[in-house]
Amino acid sequence: MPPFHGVDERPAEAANQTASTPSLAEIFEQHTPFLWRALINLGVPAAEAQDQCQEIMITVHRRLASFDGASLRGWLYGICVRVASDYRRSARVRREILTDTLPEAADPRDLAEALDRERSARRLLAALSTLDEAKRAAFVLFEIEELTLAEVSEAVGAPLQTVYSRIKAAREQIRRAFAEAAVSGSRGGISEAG
Amino acid sequence: MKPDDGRWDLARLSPSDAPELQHALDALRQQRPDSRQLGALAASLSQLGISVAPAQQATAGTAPSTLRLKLILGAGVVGPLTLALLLWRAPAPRVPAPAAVVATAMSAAQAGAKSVAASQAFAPSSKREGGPPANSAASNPAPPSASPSSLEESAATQADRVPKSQAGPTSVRSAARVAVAPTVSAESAHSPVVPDRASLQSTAQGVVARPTEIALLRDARLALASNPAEALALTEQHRASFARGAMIQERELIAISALARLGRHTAVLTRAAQFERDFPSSPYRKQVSALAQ
Repeated sequence: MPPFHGVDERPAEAANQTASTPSLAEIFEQHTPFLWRALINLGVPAAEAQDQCQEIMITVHRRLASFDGASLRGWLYGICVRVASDYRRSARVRREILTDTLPEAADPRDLAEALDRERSARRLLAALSTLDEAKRAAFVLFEIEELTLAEVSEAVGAPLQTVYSRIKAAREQIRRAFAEAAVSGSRGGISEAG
Repeated sequence: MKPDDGRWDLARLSPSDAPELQHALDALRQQRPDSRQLGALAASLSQLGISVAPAQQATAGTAPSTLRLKLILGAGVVGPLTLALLLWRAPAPRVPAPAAVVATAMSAAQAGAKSVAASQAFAPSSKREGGPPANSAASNPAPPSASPSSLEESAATQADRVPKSQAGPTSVRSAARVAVAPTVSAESAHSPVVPDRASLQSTAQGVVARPTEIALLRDARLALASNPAEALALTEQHRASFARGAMIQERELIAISALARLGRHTAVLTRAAQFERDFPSSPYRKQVSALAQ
């Protein structure tokens, strides 16, 4: 019986990788927390973030050998955006809630500050949920993940000027939402998520 | 803003520009998964045969990073627990010497959650024979079996073919969720190979649904060593149920392995040739060729 190598063979991690291509472990260590965060900001509920992050890593594992080495962050966030998009699409079909509780604050020593931070985060998440998918992705990647315009362009697969326009439009929409909330003087201006 | 040289540029929002919004942005930027969540993710990937542990532990004089330490600790807790759960859920005939497997899993977690060891501990051959869990595939004449990693890889392969707008593979999603899918026991408990409980998803009313694609192939893989005829039958069931499934390559690999174990060499050659025609760039092509020799 010929030996079977199915257990050990991992094509994406094989010798195809160039020296400049990071290993899967390096990507996991350096980028997973940010991809996880981006998923939530792109509309994946915190409770689903692990599953969706797993999908990202599976896709990365499979495609890493074909990564061209141009922009790792753009490539990774591109996968992240697609996974989140697919999730949101399927979640809409299932009529699931798109946003829910956030992860716990990293350091809740100051409870008041932590609560304030969480309230702000919820307000922004609620405002983000009013954006269309394209504007949301552009805004999240540029303003929260702090990618460059070029990286955002690669991640979302749109020209620079389109990304530029989307970010500007998203900013205006979010500013308006925050202003309306301030005028109303209550949290009802922007419906709280969760 | 578009500078004169034609390059697009845009300044990020500043605190003076929109203080309240900036505060909210900062709040979102501070959100991170904790070590338990990252450890659970690392462990679940490890179960799929995807190692995210560093290739080498920190060398002398180099302290491991905080995240790495968290991953190790997280995987050390979550990995063994998850493997223990998997063992508990496995049908009785396939239960290996638990001590050996758990010890393997724990040592793997302690060594930085080396996924190879973990995935081989999960593999039926090492479980059944209690053999060395890692790096033994070449020297150990263990019966052939496809790994979870093999299954996942092809799911991703198939998903890669989906247009970009659909890319975040549903198949991969379903595959990845098998381990946590709500389950009920199978009616066919008397069958020579009892489908894993994860193979059968229950509805809210407790009605048994058909097995998921990956669960069916996992059962086939599990049956491969002890009952290749049953494995072959399960691959046929897969063919009937998932004619356009995302894991056709894995099904064929298992089927050809089963045929080889049954000594049906002509069928192996025929099917292997068909496989190479259908999937010329498959990552399993070498394995199929080896089986055909």
